[in-house]
Amino acid sequence: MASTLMNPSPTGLELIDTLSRHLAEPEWAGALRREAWHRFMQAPMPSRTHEHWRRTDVSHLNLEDITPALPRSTPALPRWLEETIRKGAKRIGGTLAFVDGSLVYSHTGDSLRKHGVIFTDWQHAIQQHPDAIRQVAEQLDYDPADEKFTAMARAYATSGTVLIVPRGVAVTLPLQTFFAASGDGPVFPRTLVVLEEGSRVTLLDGLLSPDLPARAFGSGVADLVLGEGAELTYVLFQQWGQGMEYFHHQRAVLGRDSHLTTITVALGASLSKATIESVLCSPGAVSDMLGVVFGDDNQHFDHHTVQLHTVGNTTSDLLFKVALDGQSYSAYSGLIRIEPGAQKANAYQRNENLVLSKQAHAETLPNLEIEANDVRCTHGATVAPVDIEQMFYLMSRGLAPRDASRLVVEGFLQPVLDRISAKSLREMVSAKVDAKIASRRA
Amino acid sequence: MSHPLLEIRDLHVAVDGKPILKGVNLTINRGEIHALMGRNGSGKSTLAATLMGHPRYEVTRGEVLFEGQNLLEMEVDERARAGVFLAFQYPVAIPGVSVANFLRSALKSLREEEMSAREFRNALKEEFKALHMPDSFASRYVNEGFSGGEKKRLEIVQMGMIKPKLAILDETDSGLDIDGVRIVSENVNRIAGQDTGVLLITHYQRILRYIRPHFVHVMVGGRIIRSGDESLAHELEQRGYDWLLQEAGAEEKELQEVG
Ligand SMILES: Nc1ncnc2c1ncn2[C@@H]1O[C@H](COP(=O)(O)OP(=O)(O)OP(=O)(O)O)[C@@H](O)[C@H]1O
Ligand SMILES: [Mg+2]
Repeated sequence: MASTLMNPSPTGLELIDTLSRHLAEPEWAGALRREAWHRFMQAPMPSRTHEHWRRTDVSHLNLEDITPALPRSTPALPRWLEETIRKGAKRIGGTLAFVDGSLVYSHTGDSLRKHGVIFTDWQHAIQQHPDAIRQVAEQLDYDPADEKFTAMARAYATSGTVLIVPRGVAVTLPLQTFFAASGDGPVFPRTLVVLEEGSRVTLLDGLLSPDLPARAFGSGVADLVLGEGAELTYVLFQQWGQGMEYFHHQRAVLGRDSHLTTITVALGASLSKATIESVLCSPGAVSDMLGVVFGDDNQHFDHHTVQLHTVGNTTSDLLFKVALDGQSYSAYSGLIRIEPGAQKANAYQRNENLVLSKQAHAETLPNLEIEANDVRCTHGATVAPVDIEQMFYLMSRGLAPRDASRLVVEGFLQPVLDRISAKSLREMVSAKVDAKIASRRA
Repeated sequence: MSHPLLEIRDLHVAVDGKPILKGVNLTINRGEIHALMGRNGSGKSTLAATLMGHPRYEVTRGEVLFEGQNLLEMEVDERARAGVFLAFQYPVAIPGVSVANFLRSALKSLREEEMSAREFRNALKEEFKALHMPDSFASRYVNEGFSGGEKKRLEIVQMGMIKPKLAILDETDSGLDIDGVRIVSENVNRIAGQDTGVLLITHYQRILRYIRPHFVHVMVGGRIIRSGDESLAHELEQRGYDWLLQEAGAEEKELQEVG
């Protein structure tokens, strides 16, 4: 391959403009796309010499060669995805489904519309509610460590989920959105959630595909904006099939007295790296970050969490549970940063790793940057094999080793899943986690 | 069919290379209740855990037959399926796993024909009732946050669901209140019925008033040094262990002098 392909080429920018035209985007959206593309081209490719990238090798990726396909005109809802929706959670307030960046299914209850809730795909949202989106989209930041991938996602995303809940509206039934990959080209999932003052909602954001015959690539962003007193439960459910290499950046900005519960469930992909970030920038903000990872085979997971307290009187809690089987690998690194003057901030972090096989490997790296003196901050981490006393107890009641360890793993992860307060979603996610645990090859 | 339920012959067991059991002999027939007593650290739990197959206990000599089969060759779960049950001295907590889920999985592995969900629920309800426990315990996580006595009762709830051929009860009476000892005992008797063999490890005579042993054995230093009937337990309660040790010491000395 000629190395000249590596340079920014006019074809690249032309592609960006073609995308914008094809999607009939307003001028400002096209400008944001171009800006993202320039950032993407300028940002250096991360290497393992960079602390943030030390545990995930991306040297085999040639990002400049990965380009998005134009959205298909008549996208079909694949059978497996239809099944997922049909057999999935009952009592849902609305569902969106995308395949390779095109909306293929949308069902929203009347009450959403009646209350002025916007729950639709990016393109419709941009056409119908340009001002609301523009106001937020123009302020979205780029984290320098992830910039290469985040900018790529923003430059190439052709669709994604937009959820805007107006002031004071409490959406009672949970919403769900599925972003699926067919393996036919890269995917760039994009989610924007804006909760206006005093509003409340639960959203499950699913990333799914069947096992893929060849290597596939994805890079996604999720931006969550919580207004004063808003309450959001956001479940990121990642079950890409084998073959997927996926990069993700989630960033939540929490307003005064708002409460975010974010639950990251990572089951799939051959390789995945995600940053999950909460920015507590107004007093009274509370962020509960939870995570569940279950890996087997050769899966590689790299999760980085950020609890960023820019002002005082803010609280963040974190519990990240990782269970690994086969030859899987997980790195968890968690930053608690309390900025100067952020007095009376509370920050807690706990990472627990359960290692089921001798070939599996878990790393945990807490990192505290505390620049205020009147704060409460604790952190803890464990990496342990399955307890032999627990195994002995379960087996003494007739359970085969495999069933005994299955119960131990389910039980280990359950406390996090219990935090999904919407019963229908909790049951759906628990069932998928249990199914994956039961199907492991070991 | 004429095999005894359990035959332990010259059993020697080591933990981390340290010998604990030093030649245990014991035969238990169907329907027999054997009490095993002895000072702290004499090896009673070691025997119990070895019979159940705990991986840390290494059998260095001897054999154990269960209904004529070599028990020591079986995995822990195979022993359970063969009919061996151990009520733990220190039951283990399994966080995140409900009692109902755990027992349902256990029964699935133990039984040929599957119980319906309804049958299971009813049976579990009955057992909780029998042990004077609210059936809300079904949805609690196994032994997590249970009081000492609740843990012991849950062991017997499990015994009732599983209905083993051989029940090894390791100090099930300790940690129970006065009524608890009676309730647990009544239930052990009910579940054991006519056919179950029971090896009851205890320090106290109290439980033996309810679960009346056919035999009482005393373990000292990893060996059973004395066996008798109920009256032996009574005597131990009156006199402690010293006299036995002295007698045993004298015998040992004699043996050495002869040998
Ligand atoms: N896993 C182990 N590691 C080290 N030592 C052990 C282990 N298990 C048993 N032992 C030792 O073996 C001896 C016998 O212990 P065991 O638990 O069998 O006694 P016990 O008769 O049940 O006592 P108690 O009446 O106090 O329950 C003790 O000295 C104990 O410390
Ligand atoms: Mg003991």
